[in-house]
Amino acid sequence: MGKSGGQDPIEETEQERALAEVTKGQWAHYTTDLRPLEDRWLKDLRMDSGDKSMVASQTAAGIGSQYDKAKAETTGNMFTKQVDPSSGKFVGAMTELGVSRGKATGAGVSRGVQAVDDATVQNLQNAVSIGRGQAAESTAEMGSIAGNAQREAMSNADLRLRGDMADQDRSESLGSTAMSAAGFGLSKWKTPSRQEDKKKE
Amino acid sequence: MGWASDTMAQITREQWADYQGRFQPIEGELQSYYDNPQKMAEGISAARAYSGKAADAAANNVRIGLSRYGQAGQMDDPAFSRQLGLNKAAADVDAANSTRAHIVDRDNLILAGGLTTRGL
Repeated sequence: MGKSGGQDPIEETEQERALAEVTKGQWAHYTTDLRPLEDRWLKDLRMDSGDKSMVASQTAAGIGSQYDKAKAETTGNMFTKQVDPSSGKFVGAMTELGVSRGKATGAGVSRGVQAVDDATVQNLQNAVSIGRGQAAESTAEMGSIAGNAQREAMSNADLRLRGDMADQDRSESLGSTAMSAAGFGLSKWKTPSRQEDKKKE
Repeated sequence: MGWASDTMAQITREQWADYQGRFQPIEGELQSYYDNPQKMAEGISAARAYSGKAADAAANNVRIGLSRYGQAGQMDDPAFSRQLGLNKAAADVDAANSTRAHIVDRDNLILAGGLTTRGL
């Protein structure tokens, strides 16, 4: 503990020695046992272009399949009502569904990919927290965060469609099927290995 | 100096060195995301590209669907082309704007340190 008045040494107390001893043990435990685990986690903080491609393709596929169902149902409904395929009603319905599909897919994929970047930033922020001795927060909710973004995109497209058209054939079909596409993309993205990584956090 | 004092001083130095070596670069990397014009431009560019591709793919899908009933020619009608073109342009602008807003929100959360609790 140094000297008082510059001359007389002050004896370290038993408590101070114990504190130093325990701290030394804790530091040794950290450096040998915990730091290697941390280092492994720190190497895997960043999402890459492969993650983005996977999210983009799965999101597009999920939304696309729902619109395919909607289109099939719409077509069936119209044929049941003997709507002529060459009529403006039929062609207009197909075009509207296509436009809506394009909007929902573009918005959903953009948001999904953005969410992948968000995951990187969240992981970096967690690492900074750990470095400061603070608790990190799990990013396991990443899938649902991105799923929410997709749900929003689908919901917006659906609402626009409902607002644009007062045509039950289309809005009913889309409403019943499209919403379930929300969250499809990243539900598969949460692979077991990535889940395990998140548990380590 | 006594043993306890020297030990604590040594551990403190090692901890600081450890932080500087392993975590400070990550702090720098995190900071690089904040208010970064390049990342903003990349994000917007990517979103517009996805939006454009999605619009084109959707238009193609409509064409294929109509062709099953011999109505693909309807797509050449200027009214339909115009509708698809307008929607593509609107989706492009929407993608750029929403991405910009999203990145600004994220920037604010980075600065506030609340990114993980708020979520995006």
